[in-house]
Amino acid sequence: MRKILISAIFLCVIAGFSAFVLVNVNSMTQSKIEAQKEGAIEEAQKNVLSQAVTFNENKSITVPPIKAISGGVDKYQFIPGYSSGGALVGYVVNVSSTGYSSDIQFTMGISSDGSVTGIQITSQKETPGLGDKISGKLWEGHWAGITAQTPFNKSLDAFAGSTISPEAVYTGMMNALETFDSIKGGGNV
Amino acid sequence: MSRKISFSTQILNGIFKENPTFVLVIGLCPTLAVTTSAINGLGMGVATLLVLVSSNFFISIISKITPSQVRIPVYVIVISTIVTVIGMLMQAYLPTLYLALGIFVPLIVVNCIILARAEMFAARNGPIASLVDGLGIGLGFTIALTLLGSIREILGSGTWFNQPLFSSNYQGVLIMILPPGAFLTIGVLMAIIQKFTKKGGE
Repeated sequence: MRKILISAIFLCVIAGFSAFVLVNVNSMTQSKIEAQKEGAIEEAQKNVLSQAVTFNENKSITVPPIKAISGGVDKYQFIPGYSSGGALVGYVVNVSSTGYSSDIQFTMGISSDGSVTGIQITSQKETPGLGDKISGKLWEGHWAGITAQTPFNKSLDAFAGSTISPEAVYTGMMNALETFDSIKGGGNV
Repeated sequence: MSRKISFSTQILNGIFKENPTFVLVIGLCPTLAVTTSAINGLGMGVATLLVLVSSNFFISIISKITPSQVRIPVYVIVISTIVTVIGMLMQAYLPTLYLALGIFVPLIVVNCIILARAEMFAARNGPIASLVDGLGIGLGFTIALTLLGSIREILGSGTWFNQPLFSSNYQGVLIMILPPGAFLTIGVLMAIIQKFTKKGGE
């Protein structure tokens, strides 16, 4: 009986101590981690719309997608980016689309004329070694310049053994581009 | 405590005689899952090394006062606490490293190498010896994973550490990147190692 009691108390003490350590480390690091995440988003925005130096979230245009896609966002928030002189150079938008084994999330830059200035994958859990190649600078970079009219080119845009993940990114991009074109045509931009 | 082994012997022991992957054959799940490329193997190895060194050290300290009936849950709590703390600290203070190793850190909780070394070594030896054991086993694991990852990446993608090795005509052997490739590679490597290390007759 005594033995069981001692064991139980010891286990409780260890668990309590662990909780204590975790709570402290968490409160110590939480704000820093939040700041890192925000910094990462900001950096992604600057990467995909390299001409812009400032972004104004308050002036962003929020619209629902022109048509629903699997794993897509409820609303696109086009955040305008300005050059150092204050001129509007384009918009950044967060896009999501269902890939092979996860929802692929990426940030995309669109110039004012409706072509892609760059994309950066921010979150994905695609097959390691196959679909996850979409998170590469080379592949991300090759999309620059495409418009809503650009077709999917399997030999150029996909990898051997992996078509679904690249196609999912393409679908997401097209959806955001078409939505952008529609509001632009409507005279809202 | 009775026998004194030098630290260098201990480290070499972890790399060769008790290599966790090729000799002890433990921790195969993460091994097979993450070694699709050399950099992934290296990342998982280094992350495990960090956890192994600290978990061995702490468990060795508390092992004397731990009642033996509850030692396994105690070890599990200690290990998962260490993994979580390392994950959070890494994310806050070494964001670039976390970007590379981050996805592997939570996986380490379920890596049985950590628990195995706690039970096999740290519970029976002093803190310093346990720390060195963690270093040796961790290095052995890192080397094994990097080797596996290299072979799979070179054959499967035609690259090594993301650097192309062949002309762009090389399409890569797809199966090497998929799970079967891991089994094939580890089987062949084990056979080769057995061939050279097995003493005595058939």
